[in-house]
Amino acid sequence: MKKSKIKFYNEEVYYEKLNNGLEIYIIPNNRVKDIFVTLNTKYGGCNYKFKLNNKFIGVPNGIAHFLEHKMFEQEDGIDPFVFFNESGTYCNASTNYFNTSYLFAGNNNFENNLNYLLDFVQSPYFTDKNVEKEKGIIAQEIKMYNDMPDTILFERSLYNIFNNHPIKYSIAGTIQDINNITKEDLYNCYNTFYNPKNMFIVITGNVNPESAINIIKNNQNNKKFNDRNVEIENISEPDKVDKKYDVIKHNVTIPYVSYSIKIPVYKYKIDRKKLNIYLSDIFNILFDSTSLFYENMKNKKLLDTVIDIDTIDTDKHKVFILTFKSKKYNKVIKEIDNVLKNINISNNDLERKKKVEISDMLYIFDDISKTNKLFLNNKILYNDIYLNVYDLLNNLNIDELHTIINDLNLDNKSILIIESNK
Amino acid sequence: MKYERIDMGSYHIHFISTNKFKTTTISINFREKIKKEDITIRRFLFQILTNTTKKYNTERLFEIELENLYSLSLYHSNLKFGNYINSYIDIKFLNDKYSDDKLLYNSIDLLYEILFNPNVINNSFESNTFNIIKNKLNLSIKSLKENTGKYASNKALQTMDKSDPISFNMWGDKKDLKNIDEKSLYNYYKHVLDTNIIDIFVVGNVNNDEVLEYIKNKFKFKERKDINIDPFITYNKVPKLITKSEVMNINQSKLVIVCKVLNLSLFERRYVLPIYTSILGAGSTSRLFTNVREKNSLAYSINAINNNPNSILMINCGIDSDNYEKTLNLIMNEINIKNIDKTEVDSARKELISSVETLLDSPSNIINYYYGMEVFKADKIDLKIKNYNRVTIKDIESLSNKIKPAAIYFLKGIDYEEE
Repeated sequence: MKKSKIKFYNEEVYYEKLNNGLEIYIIPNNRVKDIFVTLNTKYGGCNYKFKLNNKFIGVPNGIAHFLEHKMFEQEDGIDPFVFFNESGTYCNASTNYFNTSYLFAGNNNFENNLNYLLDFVQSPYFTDKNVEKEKGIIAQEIKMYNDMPDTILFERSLYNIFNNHPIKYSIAGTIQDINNITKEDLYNCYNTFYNPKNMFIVITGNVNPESAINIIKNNQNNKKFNDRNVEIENISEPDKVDKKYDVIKHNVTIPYVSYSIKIPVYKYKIDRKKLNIYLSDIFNILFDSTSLFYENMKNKKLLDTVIDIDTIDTDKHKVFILTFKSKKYNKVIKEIDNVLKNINISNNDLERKKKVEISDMLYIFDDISKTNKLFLNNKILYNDIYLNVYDLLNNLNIDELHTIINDLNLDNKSILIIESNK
Repeated sequence: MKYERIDMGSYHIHFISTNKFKTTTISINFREKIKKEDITIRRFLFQILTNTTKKYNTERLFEIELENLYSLSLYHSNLKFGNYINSYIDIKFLNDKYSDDKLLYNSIDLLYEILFNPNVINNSFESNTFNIIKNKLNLSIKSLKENTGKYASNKALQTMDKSDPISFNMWGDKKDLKNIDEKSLYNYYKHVLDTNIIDIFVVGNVNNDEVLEYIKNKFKFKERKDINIDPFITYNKVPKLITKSEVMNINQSKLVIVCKVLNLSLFERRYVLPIYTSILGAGSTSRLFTNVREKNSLAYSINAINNNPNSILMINCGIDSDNYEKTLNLIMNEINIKNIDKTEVDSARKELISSVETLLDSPSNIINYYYGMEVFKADKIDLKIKNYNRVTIKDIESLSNKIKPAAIYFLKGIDYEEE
């Protein structure tokens, strides 16, 4: 067990890697009563082709999410939700583009709960019947998301931005995709991506790190796993977007618009997290509620609410998705074009955003679920937990920012508009 | 954790001293009897107060100030509970150790600017900001339709009696919004500041005496009359079941069922109804989840929620329009729970007790807990746990007979394929 300190924030991280490859991160907070645990696999909605028996195979989109649902089926008939519920413990799971996470949160029965979390995620039980049953449920989930304009805007933007990368497709897949999923597909994915070598646990809250690690060790020592490495097919994704302009119709009262920019980041030589922070600072300074742009847009009656700034990362690209609602969206798009043609950022602006970044981390450490998510995301996105985050933030400087701006390639963009279907 | 409540005459101040957090939270709450015609203007008021002030007279300057105060987090909301409407403004900021020794007082100064120095000229809110907020609210009211789940539950509740607060639409009303001007908004601001019941909460590790002195000298609220209203709404008549439906061009239909719970005793309201709701539809082991989702694959999302002060139990789900009858029958058969099993009661009880035990883990829950005691004379944590443990199967059976469906609302989606 390795113990490290997170400078400035007065927090500690305990780390252990088990013989089977499972990694454990524990960030104790004994000021609260609750404990928050996530068991994560580095496998999510991005449906890469993967190697199985020396051959690359493909499976239907939406399978990681389908698998997440089906992990709750157990051969002994005990529903994991019932198990956790019996001790008043909250339990859930979620699938993102790059990971699937199983979690529980509660303040009692910790040892049994932790053992059970590992046990149920490590004992798949898929049958033709239980796979069929789930299709109707997930179809309803897909339909629910397909009625949410914000989700449509985001997913369709990714579809238009990417050419070959599987992030192009929605995490849940389409109803047709999930209807094609079989028990065999699920086992193939499970056996490849749910190996302890491809998984990690994050525990935050009122926990004794040593005893938690021992519980996990004992649990894993009793189990056998295939010694299998994950191998996924390489994807060549060009810098150009797939579709530059797209209009769709939906149940909206005012047009929804996304202005997406696909930035090639593989040319930069600096640390990826640091680069991401700089890039986010640039877009926030230019477009958030403290920006001159937003003030002008309101005064010109082009926008009523602030632009939302979403981002998504792949290995080679960072995408910024600026979304807004406006009847006069063509004018707003032009204004965004103008701002991006002449990026001007002052030292004052950067120093203020630095203060915000350093402070926001403190807000996160006051909340065990947000702390858990922070470490989970760092691990997934950067394969690093950034113990030196304070230094990284504190050393951001205007010269480095200007260098990044000089090398910034903003040529590849895609516009999507959702118009009313009435 | 130490709690202290001080009656300042025109307001109450509550100090919850704790060193659990790296932050300090201050919450100011204004409450009065809920009136339908006030909802839109109240939403307007709290939005404009937290958007600009006289000193920071554009949203941009205001937002920059929040960032300068080490990313101070500002949040406001308007909630209805029972016969009350409550509006609050929360600020949360870093402890001195992580910022500077002036942040505590600079943050209180900002709250002072928000409350006592709004962006007002000649007894009217400044026009430019006023119009920006008006447009924002107009857009927000119109776009409720885009959130089909919220829209459906709102419409379901609006079928209740027009004078019943549960039917009031908290998103606001387009016509009411139209009639609000800079002057009337200012008059309403004076009304809220001068007449509402005010509670201020300070959660964190601060010098209470110094903070009290500072607030006392700065925050000058007028003396006000005591307002004495029963916060709870109690129904005693079996409602006539109303059925309504609406067609919309959407993928998934939404089914909402509103039930009134008759003649709730205080014990039932606080302890039996939450356990009942949990068994019926609050989680992934509930009866509705098991029967509608797991056994029949009819829905992805199905849940029951209760609004205790209002004596309301509500069920929401998303389904295919073809499955309306089947789903409705399944739900109606479950609403009045029968054959209660001890293990499901124990699970529900444990879940609720666990959330009571961790109440003091977050500043917002701490404030809700003490505010609950202030408004509803809610029980302390120990007594809450004791009372949850006292709930019997018989109590739940008896409550089951008091649950009466009052409205079925169906937002029917037209599948795109059919067009």
